[in-house]
Amino acid sequence: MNAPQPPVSYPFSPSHAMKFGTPVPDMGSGPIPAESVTSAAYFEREREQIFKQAWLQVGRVEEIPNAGDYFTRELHVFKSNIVVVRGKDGAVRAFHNMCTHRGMALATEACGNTRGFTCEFHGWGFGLDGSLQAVPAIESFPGIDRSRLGLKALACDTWNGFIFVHWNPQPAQSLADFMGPLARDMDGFPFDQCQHIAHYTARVKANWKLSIDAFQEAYHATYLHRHAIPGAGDLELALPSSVRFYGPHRSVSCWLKTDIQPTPAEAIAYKHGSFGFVKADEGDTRGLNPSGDESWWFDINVFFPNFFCDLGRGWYFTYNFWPVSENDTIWNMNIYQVQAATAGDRLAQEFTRVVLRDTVFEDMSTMEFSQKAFDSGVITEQTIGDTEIAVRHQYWVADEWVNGRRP
Amino acid sequence: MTNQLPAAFADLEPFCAKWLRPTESQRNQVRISSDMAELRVFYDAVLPRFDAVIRHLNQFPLGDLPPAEQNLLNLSFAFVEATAPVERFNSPIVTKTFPPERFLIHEDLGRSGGW
Repeated sequence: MNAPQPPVSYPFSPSHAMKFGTPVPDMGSGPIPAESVTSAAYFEREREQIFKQAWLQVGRVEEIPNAGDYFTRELHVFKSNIVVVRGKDGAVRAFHNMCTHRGMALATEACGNTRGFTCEFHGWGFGLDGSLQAVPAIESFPGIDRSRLGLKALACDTWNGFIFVHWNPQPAQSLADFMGPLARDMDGFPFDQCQHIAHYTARVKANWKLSIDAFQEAYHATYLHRHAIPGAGDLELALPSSVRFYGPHRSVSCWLKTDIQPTPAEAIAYKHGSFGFVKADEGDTRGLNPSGDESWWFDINVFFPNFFCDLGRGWYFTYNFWPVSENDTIWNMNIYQVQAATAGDRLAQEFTRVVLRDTVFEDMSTMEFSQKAFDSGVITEQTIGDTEIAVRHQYWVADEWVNGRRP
Repeated sequence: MTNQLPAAFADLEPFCAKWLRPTESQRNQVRISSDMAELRVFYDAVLPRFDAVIRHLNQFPLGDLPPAEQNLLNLSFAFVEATAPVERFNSPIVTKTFPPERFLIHEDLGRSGGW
């Protein structure tokens, strides 16, 4: 790590400068080669060196409140389907959803409740803890060691209700150590008081890192979001108010002009309800705005490699970016808001849902074109500006991990 | 035909056939399959009533709305959906958009988060 850099000032922003809340790593400068978003060989190295070496967020505890509740997830990057289940002891565990006999899937529904997993193929039975408990006609398997044939586990742990798994059942680094100070900065946020208000997915023909890029810089907001967020068409907004780096993770705070005007309909809703998306100038600030920025709007928190947990006052949303191949990604978004007390609150929140969804439609309109440009070989590198420093950080960290280093 | 909304909002009854939908994906579908003239008529009718709608709904516990009030809330969600074309895009769909048919709006709230 280098020493903290002095704040950068930009000619188009006389009143605001981009601050760094942490030391800025030496990430190099210059264009970023496009190979890491187009190469199948590079993606195979990412599969082994990044995704099988990092904690990955796969769900929330509210999805499986009771013993025996489970959900399954298709993890193409592992070439596996996993099942996450709450045991009789209350612990959440994760297993590869594969019978250890001949590989049949055990849970064939997206979610459910069960006393155990029985394979539909030959009837092998497994407990919620993964132990092999029943083998029909076990005498036909002379010398079988049931203790070696339990379900193949992944490491599983939680942070503020978010469930994470790790390919290695006994990873060298705990989830808490992996998430580090960024997670601790966010710990005060009232995650447990929030309600799930929206869930979106899309399969995007673009590299997972390229897809992430569209959501971790504000430079695009001034132009791309000039319709969805009236008032965003101001170049000063291109500047993050502050940026922080935490090992492989990063956090970018965005600011909002205080004189932004709600639309006529929003103005009525906001008279009666709080926690709107672009107007929430009072309320609980725990876990938010770690650099104490003025005119602060929200924090983009990116846990390497593929999980976002963006926090605002009274709301948060998450993204997961699940690679299928070097140019195929499943994008997943969930929006949560503090439980509404009145219909007025709920209608103010509805603007969050609709405005945010429309904004994401705009974000996602660009990435497949970029992927095609890089796949064509015509555009061979990405030119990155200083306000897009999170983009540079992502490619630098990914390349370090691919090469066996762990910043 | 029986009224679906509270009596005080009978003036909005004509919009129920098209706009009263129980889910986000259905409301979005109605929005993006409408033309701007239809969207403006709905917007212009509800906007001056929106304040009274919220005041009325706020008299009831949110989690236990009577059927007519629940319908009024769902119609209001459709109004929020319709404000975006009128107030932001001048277009039923997002102007520069990812293809809506490939963007899945799920209704499995609370129990999912999957993909």
